[in-house]
Amino acid sequence: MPQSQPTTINGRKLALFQSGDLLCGLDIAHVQEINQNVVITVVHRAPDYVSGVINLRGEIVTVIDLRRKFGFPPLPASTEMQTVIVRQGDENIGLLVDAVNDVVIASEEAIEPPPSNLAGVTGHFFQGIYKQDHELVAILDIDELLVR
Amino acid sequence: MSQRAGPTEAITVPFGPDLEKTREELRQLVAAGHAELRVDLADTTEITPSGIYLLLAARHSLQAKTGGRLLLVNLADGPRELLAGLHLEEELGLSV
Amino acid sequence: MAFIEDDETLQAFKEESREHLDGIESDLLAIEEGGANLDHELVNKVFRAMHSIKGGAGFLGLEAVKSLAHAAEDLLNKVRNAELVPTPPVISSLLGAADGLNRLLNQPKGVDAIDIASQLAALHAVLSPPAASTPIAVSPLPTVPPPASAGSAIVDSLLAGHAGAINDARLAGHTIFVLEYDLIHDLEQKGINPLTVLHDLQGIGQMIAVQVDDQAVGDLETEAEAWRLPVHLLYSTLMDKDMLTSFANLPAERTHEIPVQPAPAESTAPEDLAPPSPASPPAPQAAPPAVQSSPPAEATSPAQPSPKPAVSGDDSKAAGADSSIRVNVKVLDNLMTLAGELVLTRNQFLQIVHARDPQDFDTVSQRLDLVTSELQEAIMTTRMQPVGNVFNKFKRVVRDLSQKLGKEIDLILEGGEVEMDKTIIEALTDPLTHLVRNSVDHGIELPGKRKEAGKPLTGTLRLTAFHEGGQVIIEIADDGAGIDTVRLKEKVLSMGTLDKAQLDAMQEHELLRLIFLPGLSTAKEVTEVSGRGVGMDVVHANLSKVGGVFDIASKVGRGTTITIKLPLTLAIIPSLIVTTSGERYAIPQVNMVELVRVPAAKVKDRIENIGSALVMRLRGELLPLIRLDEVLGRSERYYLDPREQQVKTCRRQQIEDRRRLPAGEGATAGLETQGPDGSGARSEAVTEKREQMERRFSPQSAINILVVSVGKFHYGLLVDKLLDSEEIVVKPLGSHLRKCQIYAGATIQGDGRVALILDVVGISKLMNLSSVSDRVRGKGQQESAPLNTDAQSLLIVRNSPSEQMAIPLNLVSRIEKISARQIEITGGRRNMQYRATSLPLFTIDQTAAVAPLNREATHYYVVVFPFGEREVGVMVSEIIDIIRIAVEVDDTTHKQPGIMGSAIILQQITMLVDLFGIVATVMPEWLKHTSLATPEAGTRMTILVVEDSKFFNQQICDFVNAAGYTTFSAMDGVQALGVLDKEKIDLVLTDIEMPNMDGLELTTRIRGDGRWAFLPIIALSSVAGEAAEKRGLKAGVNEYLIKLDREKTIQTINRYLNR
Repeated sequence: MPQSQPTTINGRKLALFQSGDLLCGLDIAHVQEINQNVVITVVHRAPDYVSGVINLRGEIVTVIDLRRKFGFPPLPASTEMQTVIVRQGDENIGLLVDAVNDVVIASEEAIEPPPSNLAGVTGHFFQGIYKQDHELVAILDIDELLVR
Repeated sequence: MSQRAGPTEAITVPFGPDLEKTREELRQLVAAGHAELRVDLADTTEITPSGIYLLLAARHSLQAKTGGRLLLVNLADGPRELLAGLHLEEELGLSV
Repeated sequence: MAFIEDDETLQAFKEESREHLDGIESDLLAIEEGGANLDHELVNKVFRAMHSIKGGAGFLGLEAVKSLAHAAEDLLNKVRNAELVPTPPVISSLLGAADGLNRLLNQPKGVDAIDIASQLAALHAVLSPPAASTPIAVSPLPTVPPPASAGSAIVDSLLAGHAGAINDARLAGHTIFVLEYDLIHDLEQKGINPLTVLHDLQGIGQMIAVQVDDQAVGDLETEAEAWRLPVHLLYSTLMDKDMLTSFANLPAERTHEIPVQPAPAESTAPEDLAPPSPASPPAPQAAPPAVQSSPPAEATSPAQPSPKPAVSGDDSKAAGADSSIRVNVKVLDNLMTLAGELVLTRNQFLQIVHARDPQDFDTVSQRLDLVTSELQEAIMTTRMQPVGNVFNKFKRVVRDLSQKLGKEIDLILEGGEVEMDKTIIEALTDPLTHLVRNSVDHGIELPGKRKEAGKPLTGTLRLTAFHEGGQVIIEIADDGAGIDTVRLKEKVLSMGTLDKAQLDAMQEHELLRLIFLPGLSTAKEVTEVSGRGVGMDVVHANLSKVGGVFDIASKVGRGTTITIKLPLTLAIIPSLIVTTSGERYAIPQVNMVELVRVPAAKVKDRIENIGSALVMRLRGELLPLIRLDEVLGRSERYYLDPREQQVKTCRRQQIEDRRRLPAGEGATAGLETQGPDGSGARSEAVTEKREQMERRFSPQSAINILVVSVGKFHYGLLVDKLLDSEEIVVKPLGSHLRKCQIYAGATIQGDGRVALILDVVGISKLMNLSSVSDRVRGKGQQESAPLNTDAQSLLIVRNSPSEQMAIPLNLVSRIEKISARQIEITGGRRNMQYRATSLPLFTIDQTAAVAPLNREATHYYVVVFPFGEREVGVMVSEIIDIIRIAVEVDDTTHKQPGIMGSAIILQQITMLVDLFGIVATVMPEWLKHTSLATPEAGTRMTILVVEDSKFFNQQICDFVNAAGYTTFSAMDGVQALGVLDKEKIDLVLTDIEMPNMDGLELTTRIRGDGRWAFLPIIALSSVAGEAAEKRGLKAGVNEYLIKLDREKTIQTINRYLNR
């Protein structure tokens, strides 16, 4: 399932962020930018996991709520959240996450195949698991995550 | 009727009103090998379809025999209008 | 030889050559179509192009390019000098050469590497044996005149050479004829002056072309007895064949009506795709100076041809000085973004102006508004391209393919002038090509097969583009074998993608969509043309990328139609901003019909429940209503409280639709959706909102209804508030939202937030509104409808130069031109001998106070029409024209015996002549039915007159009443059914063409209802002809009559009602 990843001599650069009980990592190559306090316009009759659309410098970008995607309960409405803009194909997509933590460099050796299930989330969203200190980082498979 | 001229020169022939007579004249001129026939329609105020037929037929004979051309001269409004209506003006190489 | 040193020179040469080559293909195809009927200008153009390519290539030392261009040039020279007829093989070799040149020029390095031997060989093959074949010169002349059938080649070339004009004429409703005269026998020997005939014909129609058959003329040896002068006239008119035949002094067998798809001729739409705009201004200064309220999308409609697209190059017929410029697409993209930004800034600015006292800002904002609009329009124009650019490529594709496959195919291109953004056009090219190839390869059958199936040998492939509801629709329709869903099922089953149960559960249209499955090809064998299964799935994917939506309809044996709906991307459109529950939405103005505000006090009068549907009464029509909130899938639904007669909301909580929003910026509260998500933090806001909702339906508030249109069908959308009209920049929604159906895109508002654009078509589909409207329609009441006018053909005539009159053409059986000497007067009545009988003649001034017929004229026109059992004629002095228009009839001012009323036609007051009235007034004894004693009112029979034109309706009712019947009138089928339901009707007289429900449908419904199974139905139509009559009889009408033929109508009624 996990394919070969773009690597550097030092390993892979991962952006880390929290969504519910899950600490996620995303190859930095996918990440365009990270935004806070974006006004999201609700799109009724959209798929359940879509939280709405935002205006990203004139482009209409679909925002996907990772908590919904992973099946975690929603946060109270007043909570500040962040939007990670990722590029998939020829489209930008926003991922609504609880908070963006850090960028780390993960050595390939420390990355393992994903389990079938992590924190209640099925493993097919992940490319692998990176063990960092005492935490497990689920490296997201963006194509699998954003499949329509 | 027609002035004698060298076979290669242009020759002018009056048209009608007796078409059979005109046909005979044209026939002889073509046979004589004239390269350019000028048909003078000065006295023709109205042309009939048969008249037009004769002109086209003369052109055919002329082309087959000498490859020459047929020109209409002194075309009055009546015949001109019908020839125009039948889109034959260019076809018949109208002259003044 | 000079070798390529200078890259720039080479580059310039290549670009120039490509530009030349761009146009060559369509030019060559046009030349081929013309055949021997050479368009010299076009040939010269191609010749010059080849010549300059040859020259440049020689200079640059590009040997392969040079030799290929040279050979092509030689060939073209022969065509130009009429030494060679541009037959398909000739054109094929030239097309091959153009392809070869294109490939050579696109090869970046080592240009000579491509092998052009085959193209050269093809050219030489055509060039070398010219002496043996085809010089057009005169071949040995037949002394015996050729049979009449020899004309068919002439007919073909006439048709092919004037396809554009023919098409135009058809659009004007004309029928196309080829009239085959032998001027000597048909006219001269009968003493008819050919000029008069030509003039007469030109008066009431259009002479498209005249071709004297020079080949049939012998030479000076031909004896006068054998003289024939055949002339073919390509002629269009509104007259039908019978009428024309007598008018044209020509036997029927030599009046050839040309059916809509001329079998042997090529496509009927070759040149008319090019926008008729040689005079349009050069692109750089395309922007009109004033602020245009019309959106660019509208500006592309044919009514207002936009300046030539700057980026194109092909299909322009204007040779040489084409004013197009090439613009780097990146630059354009950048300009597009800029324009979008500028619109945003303007919107922001306008908002500021709104908020403060606007005094100071006025001029500035106006200026900004102006500049923005101009810039935007100019830029849009540069990006818009006619879809014809893509369509025209298919002429070649279809030509080559059908030749290869041995099929005969007419390609019909329609709507080539519809413009779309370049990006979409580009994305469209490949999928469309695929679909066209598919139709040619798999759709349309071989001639043999078609013959077996009883179809015309020539298949038809029709590509159509048009605007609908702010979208562009493209249809690819063939009349081929259709998609065999049985075989499709088998195939899918064998692929194992779906199992039998799944397939059996699918409906026809779902089955058809299976062709989009990857790896599926229904053709029995894989062919070279459309390749194997990598077909429709790729097409589908590519079109979905630009937001295209597919629809397929197919009937086995009848053909397949694929419809592609392309969204409003990249456009700037005027829209209305509305809110519902605090959210803003934009609705394109093109979709809107009107805004209706129903005051609370009127709600119970205007709005009612039918079943589960909410409807509104609007000018006598029932309009289905839908709440925008409901469309959006919110909890509340409208219903009409039966006791209180008020529209109320019934609120069920649907938690899953309540979205939590991130980080509530206080300022925006109330504008975003907030749901009862259980958190106390929001409870206040929620309460407030509920109060708002409650207020919306309290007695002092009104209801806002936006009436929108989906094609012919309208419905009302209930919204909370109407904000402003704005020009919005349409942006596409992301791929995750494509399936939502109800949105056409999104836009960014002045405050930077996103507003979604509603798709009224999608909404009606999602909410299943059309079926609601069907239910609603049945309830439509007879209320006054606006005066309806019918387009009809009128014969415009005069008695005297000062007074114009019109005669409905559908009553007329023939028009004769007669000499005054032919008129006989017996017993004070005028007659003329005609076809062995005597034709009674009348004049309009016999009964009506109109200018009298010129008594001194040497010729008259006689309008012949049936009156009961006999034929009669009405004389007029002059025939002006035949036109087809919708007239507003004034049936009071000039009404008198013989005159039905008046109308403004051709800018003149025109009397509408009542042919029957004239005869009936002069010869009352000819009216059979009036001799019957009028029965007492109580025993009168009742007749229902169904006719959508108020004028005709009145006319028919009048004469039916006069014949002693009671009449009810209905304006369409729906109303008619309503009347039938309530009244006892003895007979129905119905028009065929009507809105809402036409006469055929009405008849079907009546016949389907046991109560009326034997009710006599008489169709009154302005459409004559066997096919129309057959359709009527098939639907169940008893008789099919021509409108306003009152004698016959009354006789028929009498017959059915036993009187």
